[in-house]
Amino acid sequence: MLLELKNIKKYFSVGKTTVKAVDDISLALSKKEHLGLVGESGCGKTTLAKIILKLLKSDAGEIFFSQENMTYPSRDRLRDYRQKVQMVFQDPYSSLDPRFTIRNILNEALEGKKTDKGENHLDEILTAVQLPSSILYRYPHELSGGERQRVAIARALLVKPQLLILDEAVSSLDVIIQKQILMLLKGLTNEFDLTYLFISHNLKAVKRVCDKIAVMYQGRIVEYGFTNAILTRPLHSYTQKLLKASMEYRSDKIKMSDIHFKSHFVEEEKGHFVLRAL
Amino acid sequence: MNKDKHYSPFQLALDSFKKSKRGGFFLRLLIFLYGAAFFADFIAPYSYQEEARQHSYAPPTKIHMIDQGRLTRPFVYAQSLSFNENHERVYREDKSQRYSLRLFVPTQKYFILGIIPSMTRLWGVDVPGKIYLFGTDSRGRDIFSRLLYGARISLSIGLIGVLISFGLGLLVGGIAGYYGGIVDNILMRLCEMFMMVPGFYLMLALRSVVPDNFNSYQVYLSIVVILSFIGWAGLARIIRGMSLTLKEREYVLAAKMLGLSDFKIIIRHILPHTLSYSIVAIMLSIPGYILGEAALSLIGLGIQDPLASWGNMLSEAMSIAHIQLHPWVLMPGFFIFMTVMSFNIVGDVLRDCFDPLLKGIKES
Ligand SMILES: Nc1ncnc2c1ncn2[C@@H]1O[C@H](COP(=O)(O)OP(=O)(O)OP(=O)(O)O)[C@@H](O)[C@H]1O
Ligand SMILES: [Mg+2]
Repeated sequence: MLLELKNIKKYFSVGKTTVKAVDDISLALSKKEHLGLVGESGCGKTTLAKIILKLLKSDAGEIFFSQENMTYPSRDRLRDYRQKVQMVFQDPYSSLDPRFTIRNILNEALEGKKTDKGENHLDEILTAVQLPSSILYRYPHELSGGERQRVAIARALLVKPQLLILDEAVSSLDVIIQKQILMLLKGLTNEFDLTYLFISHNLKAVKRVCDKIAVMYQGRIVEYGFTNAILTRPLHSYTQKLLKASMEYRSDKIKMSDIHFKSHFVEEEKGHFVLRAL
Repeated sequence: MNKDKHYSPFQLALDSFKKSKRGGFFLRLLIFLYGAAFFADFIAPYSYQEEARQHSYAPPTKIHMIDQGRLTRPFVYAQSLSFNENHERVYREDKSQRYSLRLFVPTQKYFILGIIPSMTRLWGVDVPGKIYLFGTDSRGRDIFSRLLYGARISLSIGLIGVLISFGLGLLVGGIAGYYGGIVDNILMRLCEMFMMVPGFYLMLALRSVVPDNFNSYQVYLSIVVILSFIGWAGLARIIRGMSLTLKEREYVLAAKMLGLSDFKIIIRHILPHTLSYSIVAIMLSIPGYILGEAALSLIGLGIQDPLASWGNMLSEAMSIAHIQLHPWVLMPGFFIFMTVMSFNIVGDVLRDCFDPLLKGIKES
């Protein structure tokens, strides 16, 4: 096992109420496994990821990484651990420091490492995430959301982690790039010996890259199993709903666009469209 | 702006400041004042302690350009002092003696900035004539010259004081906000202790600790330290609030994940984002230091005569009678006002330019 979580709990108290963001979660990831973590907004996915990264202290439970207890690590062990685990954060607009050029942002990732490859390495990694090297001189606010997300992925990969957590890493990308990034991530598995924790609402994206899926609902894992099994025979009612929703969405797509068209355009006899006055 | 170059949001904000007319004008005015203070000993026609008792409370000297209906080079007349029936001073121009205004007049040997030896000053009148651009004080010292020398003290106290207190405030605030918990608690209680005591009394209390036998240089330094001790706490609290929000930013989390040390993260990813706020706060708080020095010197606890500072020069203007008879002793007050106003306006314009950068960091 690469990563093991045992009975992790994290409660937030907001005013008088308590939010059970993570409620007794146990989870294991073996080497090179791709686990998808899906669940609705606010169910505690990001919180769980932050606990794994040790950016948040859990209220209870234990974390093991390569059989080593990481629940209360020493400073040195923590620094070591953090180089082995990387995360691509959900919001590409705040994951890059606006005062730094992309070059400086990426160089920072190499700072802790003793590699003499340096700049060559940057070019290599940029090619991998399909960004032009001219991007190195730009500032984050001059990039699109998708470009930023790819910079964030590049930064995480530069550290050569063993475990990569991707929090909605592809939701802000357009479909074609999404596909490319997913293929890229899959390709990197062998090259880097990567293990993924893939957080998403998007079952389709998860299906493409993940061997296993864990479904989270209100701070708990309600269903866990191989991707195929879960997609074909969902047991928990929430999973069924989620699956149904994503299916409906797909079949509805055509219909929706139809409606969209009809409500905004009126066909004229000459065969072209004009915008109807609202 | 260069199209091929890339600018960070901070640089863009600075650029918009450069384009603002109001901010630019007052910034230039400040630079001009600081420049004048820097070269005081070259620009001032007299030294700060050169006195002519027979010229006590002389009014600003009139500069004449026209002699018997013809335009000539500027000159001044000698002044003779007499007393009227109320024993008030009356200065009359003695038309028999005239002295031309000149550039680069020779004087006794002195040192520009204390290092470069020089035998000339920028301007003056032929000896033994005297020119008092802004009049003289009770001991017949040229107020214009003393203003320039005084600017050195009054203006530098603001800058140095602000550097010390901001250094302290940024560091304490950054650390408190970043680490949180008990560190935060201790540091913030400490700040509150300083903030609880009204500034002016704290200033007096601290001043009373300073030994009497200090020379003027030591007094100057202790005033700077006293003033910065008053200012840092408020800033520390604000910076702490900002770094509390900033440390949750995902780029800070990402930097943590890259294994950067806490110190590097605070210096690189937290404090720089408070910079746009700090610059504004610095501009708006320098007047406090200038006024603080003026207040201390005015009541005789600051810079001591014969050294000049705007504050101790103003102490001549403490009685109404003097202000009525010799209004020119208020000149330092006018300069204090001008400087304070310029800093406030520059700070204000900067705040407008930096506002977009502060979104989400600061409540107000
Ligand atoms: N620092 C915090 N203080 C209080 N409550 C929090 C905090 N962080 C998260 N929460 C709460 O914990 C719950 C889980 O949040 P989390 O960010 O983990 O959700 P998520 O599954 O990542 O959602 P999304 O898919 O929208 O990103 C939410 O209800 C949220 O309001
Ligand atoms: Mg989330």
